[in-house]
Amino acid sequence: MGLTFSSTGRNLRKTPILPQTGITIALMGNPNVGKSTLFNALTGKNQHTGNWPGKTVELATGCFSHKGQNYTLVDLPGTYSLVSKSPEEEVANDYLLCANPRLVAVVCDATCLRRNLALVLQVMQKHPRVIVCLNLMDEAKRDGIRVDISKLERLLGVPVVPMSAGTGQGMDEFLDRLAPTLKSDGHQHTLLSPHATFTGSKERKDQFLAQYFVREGEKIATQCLGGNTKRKTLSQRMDTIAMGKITGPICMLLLLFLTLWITIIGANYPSQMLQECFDRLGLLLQKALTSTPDFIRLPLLDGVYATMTRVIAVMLPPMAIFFPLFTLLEDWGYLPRVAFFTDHAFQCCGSCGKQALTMCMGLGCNAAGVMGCRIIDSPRERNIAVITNAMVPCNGRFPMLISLISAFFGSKGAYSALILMAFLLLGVVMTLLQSKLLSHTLLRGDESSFAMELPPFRRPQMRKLLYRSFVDRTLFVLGRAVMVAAPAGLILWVCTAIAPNGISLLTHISNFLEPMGRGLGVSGAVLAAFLLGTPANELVLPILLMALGVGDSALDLLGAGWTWQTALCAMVLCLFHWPCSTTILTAYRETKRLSITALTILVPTVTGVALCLLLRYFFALMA
Amino acid sequence: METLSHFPAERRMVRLRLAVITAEEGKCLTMENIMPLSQLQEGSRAVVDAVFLKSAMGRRARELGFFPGTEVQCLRRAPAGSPIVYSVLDTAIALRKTDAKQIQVRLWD
Repeated sequence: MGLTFSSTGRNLRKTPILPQTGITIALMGNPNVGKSTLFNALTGKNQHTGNWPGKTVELATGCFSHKGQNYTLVDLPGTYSLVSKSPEEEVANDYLLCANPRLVAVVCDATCLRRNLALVLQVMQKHPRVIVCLNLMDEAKRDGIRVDISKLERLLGVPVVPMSAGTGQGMDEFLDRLAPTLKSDGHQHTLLSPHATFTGSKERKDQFLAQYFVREGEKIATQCLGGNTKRKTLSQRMDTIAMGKITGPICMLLLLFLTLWITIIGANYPSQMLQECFDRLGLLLQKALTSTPDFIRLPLLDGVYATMTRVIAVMLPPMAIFFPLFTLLEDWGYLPRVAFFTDHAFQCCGSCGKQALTMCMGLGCNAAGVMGCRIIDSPRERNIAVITNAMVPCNGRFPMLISLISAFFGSKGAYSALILMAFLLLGVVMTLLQSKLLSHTLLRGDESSFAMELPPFRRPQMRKLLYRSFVDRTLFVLGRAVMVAAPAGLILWVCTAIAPNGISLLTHISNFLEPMGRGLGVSGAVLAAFLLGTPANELVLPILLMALGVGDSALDLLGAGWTWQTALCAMVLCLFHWPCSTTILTAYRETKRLSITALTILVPTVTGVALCLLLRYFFALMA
Repeated sequence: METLSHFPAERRMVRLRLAVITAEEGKCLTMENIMPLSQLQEGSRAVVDAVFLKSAMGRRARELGFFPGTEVQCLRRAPAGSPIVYSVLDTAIALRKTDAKQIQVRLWD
């Protein structure tokens, strides 16, 4: 899960098809033990990894071969047990029962083996062939933890392979031990079935089962662990600052500010340079195409080319900086800390801290954020998170905000970063307010509980990080934007060029919306741009510029008679209006309820309209 | 209580009786070294005595290691006082205060 090819792309609407070639191996394990890392190491794929629990919410499959034998690997979502009924656990459970893989590889974290063995024991009960991958051995070594592998193997009765999937250590041994394990009849049950030994009510039985395996697992693990397990690790020392009562929130705001500041500073010049390059290229193209007839050349150059290049110039630089920074925070393990700090605020508003995680993902792409809401257990809170997700600016709207801020509120990096941060925090505040409103009116219900694992800080793998953030996220999201921009540019050109009675279609739409736009402190053209930009919010600024018939950058809006008040209203509307069509579709797909989907559109829009009216009233008072 | 505490056997009886009462009420006690998990000081260790959480959260808490007999340590509180991070079975788990109130612990001695 996360902002990946599959969660933001065409595959968004497809259900994964499980290829049936070779022997199927299922990867299971507690959340955040490195299943996806192992999956990538074995299959050479780039399944999204990140240092927070609950990131894989769908099955991912990949193939690999070893010694002439083909294997299909299935990456299941992380689960603590097979007893509970949370969605990801049901996915894992159903897969184990229905697809019946030939072998289950249970991935364990060597640094917290005492917890991880519970799942191993549960899987051993349900499946005859199990192999244990003891991952993160390098971290365990660094923390001074020793694991007696042969003893563990003997006590469990299944093969145990020590490895570090991040560095690739232990992969060969794992591959070599696959074949013998597959040939064997399976392990002997060393545990009595707890179902047979316990009598009582269903509730009591469930509660008993949940702790039974953990207790047994802990017993086994304690016998195999050696070394100094009580030593304070580097991550724990870092936590004293990152999660301190006073330093923690300061760190959080500082990190947010730094991310935005670096993005703005880094994006300004490349954006201008790109635009200049594209302009020159456009002139060259114009010369090259002089011989072609007008009705081909004009739509291509003024429509498709102009819109596409504007989208690229505005989007590429901020994304190429923001995504690696965000991925860095994600891989490092900072995101769950954000959830920790914000949980109380969300609890007061009838929601939970995991919503902060989905909002962080919304910063990248709202569709991915909506999909990420699966990590929230309670359906009521999940719906709230889905509805309010679009109130966080995605990367399609970020560039518009940045350009407007730079054009109207000073282009000094730190200053504009502060304004951008203020806007983001406004988004957060409105999200909280609307969550509270929703949980008191339409989505009433009990507040649920919140139990989240805070993973240790891990050193991000830089090479993979750069690859993933750049190729997987930046180029992909850009590619999608360009794919939408090209046809949209053509339609837009038609809208501006076809002008019966001298008034173009776009002007007609703008004029029609003018009274409404005036009422909101902007103009009809802005509303028309938002309306036509529904397929992709990246298009809003280019459409706006085209509708007003001014130059290439937001600075030219000054020439169109815009004041800072107009810009402020436009920015508020940019932050709060209906989400893009992909997000709306994803919201419907995730909730399967039209009412929730309608609310996803209505809630941000109403918020934006209300805020704009308020601003206008305020301006009128000032004038 | 003061007088009883000199006699281990009686003390155990009292504790047993109180445990029965609390189990019926589904609430934690505060006495001597027994308290709800939410009242555990930052940095101190305790052993889980009883878990009164119901249904899904009860299961989840048990899976995470909160069941009678496991050792927990309170690592830190959020600035707002909730959630609270506990170290249980070598992992840091954040629980809300309202949930932590329903887990009874005995101080580590």
